[in-house]
Order: sequence, then structure tokens, then C-alpha cells
Amino acid sequence: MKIKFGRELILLAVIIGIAASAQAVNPNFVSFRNISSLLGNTAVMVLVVMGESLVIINGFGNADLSVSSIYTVSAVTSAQLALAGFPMFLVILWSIGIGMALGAVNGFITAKFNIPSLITTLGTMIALEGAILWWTKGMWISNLPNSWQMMNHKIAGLSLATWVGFGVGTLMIFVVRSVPFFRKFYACGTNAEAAVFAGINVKKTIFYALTLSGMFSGFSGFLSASRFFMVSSNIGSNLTLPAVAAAVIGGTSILGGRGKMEGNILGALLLTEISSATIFWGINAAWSEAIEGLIILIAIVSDVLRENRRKRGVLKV
Amino acid sequence: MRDIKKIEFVLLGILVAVFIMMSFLSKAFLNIPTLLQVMQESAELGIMAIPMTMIMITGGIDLSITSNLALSGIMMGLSWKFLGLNIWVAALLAIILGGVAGLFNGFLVAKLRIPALLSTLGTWAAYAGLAMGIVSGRSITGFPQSFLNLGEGSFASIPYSLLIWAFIAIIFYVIVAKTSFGRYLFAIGNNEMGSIYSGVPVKKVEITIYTVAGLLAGLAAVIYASRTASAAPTAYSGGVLNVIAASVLGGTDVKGGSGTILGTVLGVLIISLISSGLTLANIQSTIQEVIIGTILVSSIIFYEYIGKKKNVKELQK
Repeated sequence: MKIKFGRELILLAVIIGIAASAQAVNPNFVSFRNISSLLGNTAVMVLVVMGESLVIINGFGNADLSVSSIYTVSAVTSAQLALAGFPMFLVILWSIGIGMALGAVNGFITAKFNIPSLITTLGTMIALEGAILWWTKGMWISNLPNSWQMMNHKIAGLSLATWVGFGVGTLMIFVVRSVPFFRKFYACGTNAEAAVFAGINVKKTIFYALTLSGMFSGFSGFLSASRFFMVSSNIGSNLTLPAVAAAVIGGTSILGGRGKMEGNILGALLLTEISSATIFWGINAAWSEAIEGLIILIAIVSDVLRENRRKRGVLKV
Repeated sequence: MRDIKKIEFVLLGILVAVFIMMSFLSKAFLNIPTLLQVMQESAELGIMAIPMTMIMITGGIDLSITSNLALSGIMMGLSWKFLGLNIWVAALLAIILGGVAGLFNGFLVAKLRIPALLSTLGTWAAYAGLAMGIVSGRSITGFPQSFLNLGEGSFASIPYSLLIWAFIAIIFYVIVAKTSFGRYLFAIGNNEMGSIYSGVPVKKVEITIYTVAGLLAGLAAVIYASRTASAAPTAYSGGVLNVIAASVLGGTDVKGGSGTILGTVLGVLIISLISSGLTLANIQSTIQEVIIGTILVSSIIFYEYIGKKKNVKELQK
């Protein structure tokens, strides 16, 4: 049991350590106010990270770079629907549906033409970003109805968005562990050839993974946007790399085949905590991108080195 | 392997078609000096697409190339403004620093055996963050006129930057098509293990091309800074997709083993003709983004079919 939870325990220790050091500099860090806003930011990120992780688990060359664009498209279009007076349950369904549809487009191109999903989603990321800027003309969407802010509703001091995000996250921990559908992702990531012989349709699994990732990003876009009165047309920019980083820090192997949902949640928490802690530490905000970049680089390098060491006995390059 | 001769002919046809289409779209397009001025913007794209093609022939990719451009540009600006170096010495320093950053990529890919897609994803984030942090998000301006002439001036109404690009393209065309080094690139891309066993210095070749990519990114940074009269941490951000799109459109296989410098030059010309034609016709840059994303994905799909057809024919024989 000790080994099984090794990484999660280390992550927890790091999270607590960072909180302690930020608390030492500024005693407001561990205040209820800061913690609840931290958890709120983590909750909307958790969904994106889990979708991203499901794609990465599918094997080397797979990652969904279009999460940020899908997130933005969903946030902006749902806000426009809410503005047009559609009932909220339809708006929520739309946000999930548009995410799924765009994810399915990614999945279709990737599976049908056998292109690494990283390249496909790089293309759709830029195309969607351009499309949403053209659609909104770079304007913010404001004057939203009161019902739009439903995710800000407080339950036991935490916003509804926090409850929903962590609720879905917790559910996914158990679902991914026990449902055979998700185990196929791991099989493809560990050894695609063996997966084929075991009767798994590798193309179908990457299609489903990208569709799910799009769905989570779409829903997360709504979840995040509905906390505010206004929605900007670049709400999701700079979300992609942190999402990949959180997944990798949380133990998702970038080479595929490994990754746990509980790790992803902790990875997302760690990244949001770091971005908040840099402010408390008094580091210039301009460095936050560099810190994030270095964390991503170190996470990727250490992950691959560990995998290489594990394989060295079998495959000597 | 792709039928690269056929692809080059197709590209030439597309180039002519684009030229005719654009000249109908905008009257200014047929004014050659104006066109050359507008096309000057694609010199950096052209310079970076050349090493990108070489890397992609070996089956790698360099996502960090545009972050490297931003970082080297910043270093040039800093060493000129705060160390008081001569601007041309600073420019040389920028090229060398770009080479060092490229060497680090090569080290990660060739020595630590981290897949290029992942290691350069990490350095992409890290270099961009460093560039942002070093100057706290501000850009450096006020370069002397003699330096700005590089980006603004022209020889016989052909801008200097386009001449530099043409010069580099010819050199690397010869290297890739006519030397043993060029053959090694294709060998590595088609079968890396086989190349190692037949004595190809795989690691040396890989380190060399990533370093060359860094050096040329540094050169592109100098040209970019002189054209825009500023060194900004956001210089060319997001432009890596255009570099990849130009190579891919030029027939380079994302999976490695195929590609030519001539094809890439044609690809760059097509993309820059399209975007300068759209600019002259007053069409928003956001639409251009959508178009470039679409070109990237659709050309991959198109070439995938050309490649497949040929394989089928070979089997039938």
C-alpha cells in the first residue's frame, strides 16, 4: 500500500510545504477566503486535466492541445445563449454538447487519418482560437442574466463550481478504476500492438478519449465562466500547458499507459497553489510563466528518464 | 516514403493558382515591390522552416523554435541596452545564445532520449517563460538606424531579409539533397535503429540539427527585431504552428523520412502569398489563422492519401 500511494503522498507533502512557506511570508495564505478561491480555481481546472490525462494515457504522441480553445468556445457560446434568454439547463447541455462535438472532430481526424493527436489538436487549437476571435470580434460578453452566475452559489462556504468540479473528479477516480471502457485507454498506451491482439480497436479508443477530453473542457469552460458577470473572448488562453503539466506532475506518464485521476486532482491543486503562492512570496508576476515552464520541463524530463530507466533492462538503446 | 517530385509539382501548381486568385482579390497584389515588402514578413518563417524540415525528416520536431526566437531577441536587446555592446556584436551573441538553447534541445533529445515532441514542448514553455520573466513582460526598443536598415532596407528592391532567406535556403538545399549528412537525416527518419546499426552517427546528427535550428532561430530573432524595431518577449508567439504548417505543406512527413528544402520553400511562399494577399485585401488576421490551421490539417490528410496510393501501387506490382 505504501508504494501504491507514494506519488500522491509526496504531492500532498509538497502542497502542504508550499502552503506553510507562503503562510510564513504572509499569514493570509491559509485563510478561508484564499483557500476557497484556490479550491474554486482548482475545481474548474481538474476537469480539463482529467480529460487531458485520458488522452495522454493513450500513448506516445497523444495530447490534446485544443483544450484551451474548446474551453473558450464553450464559455463564450454558452454565455451568448444565456444572454439570448435560454434556460440554464439548456445552456449547460450546450456547453457539454459543443465540447463533445469539437472533441469528436479532433478524434475523427486523428483516428481516420492516423495523425498524432498532438499535431491534429495543434491545428484545431489555432483554427478555433481564430474562429472565436472572429465570432466575438474580441469583445467581452457582458450584461449576463442573474441566473448565469448559478455556479457562484455558496454551499457550506464553497461555490457550487467547487462542489461540481471536485464531485465529478471524485466520481471519475472510481469510474476510471473500475469501468472496462477506461481500462482500454491504459491498454493502448502500454502496448498498442498487444491491445490490437486483445481485440481492442485502438482508433476507436483515441476517438473516445479525444471526445471525452473535449466534453470535459467544454463543461469546464461553462463552469469557469459562470462564476463571473462577464466572459472574455480569451478566457481559456494559457490553459493548455498547465493542463498538460498538471497531468504529468500528477503521475500521468507522457509516454502513455499510466496515470491516476487522484494524481491529476493533486497536480491541478499544486499548480494553482504555486501560481497563488508566487504572489504571496512577492515574486514578480512576469516570472510566473517561467516558473510554470520550468516545472513543465522538469516534470517531462524526470518522467521520461524514469520510464527509460524502467525499460533499460528490456530495451537497450 | 512519399513521391516528393510529384508533391513539388503539385505545390508549384498551387503557388501559381494562389497567385492568380490573389491578384483578382486585390489590385495591389500585382505591384511587385509592394508584394515583396509584404512578403518580407515571411522571411523569419522561411528561415525557421528550413531547420524544422530537417528535424522533421529525422522524425523529430522542434516546438520551442519560436520561443527560442523570443528569448534570443530579448538577450540581444539586453546585451545592447544594458551591457552597452555594439548592436552587431549583440546580434552575433543572440545567434550564439539561440544555438546554445538549440544545443540543449539536442542534448535532451539525443543524449537523454526524450522524444522530441515532449522535450521541446517543455523547452517551449521554459524559454517563453524565461523571455517573459527577464524583461518583466516589457519590450526593448530604440535600436540604432543602422540596425533597423537590415529589416527595412532592400537591394534592387528585394528586401535584405528575403535575400538572407534565399541564401540559407540554397545552402541547406545542397546539404540535404547532395551530402552524406543529408542522407543520414533520411536514414534516421526511416529507421533509427537500422541507422545506429549501420554506423550512422545518429546522436551527432541529431545534436547538430537541433543546434542549427537554434542558430537559425537566433538569426530570425535578429531579423525580426530589426523589422519590428523592438525585441519583445511575445515576439512570434504562437507562430510555431506556421513554421510547422509551412514544412508540412511542403511535403515533409510529420512521421519522418520524407521532405525537401525546395518543397518547404514553396510551402512558405504559398502561406506567405495567401496571408499577404489577404492582408492587402483587408481581411482580418483572425480569419488568416483559421485558414492556416485548416491548411495544416488538410495538407496532412492530402499527403497521407498520396502516400497510401503509392504504397498500394507498389504492392500490386
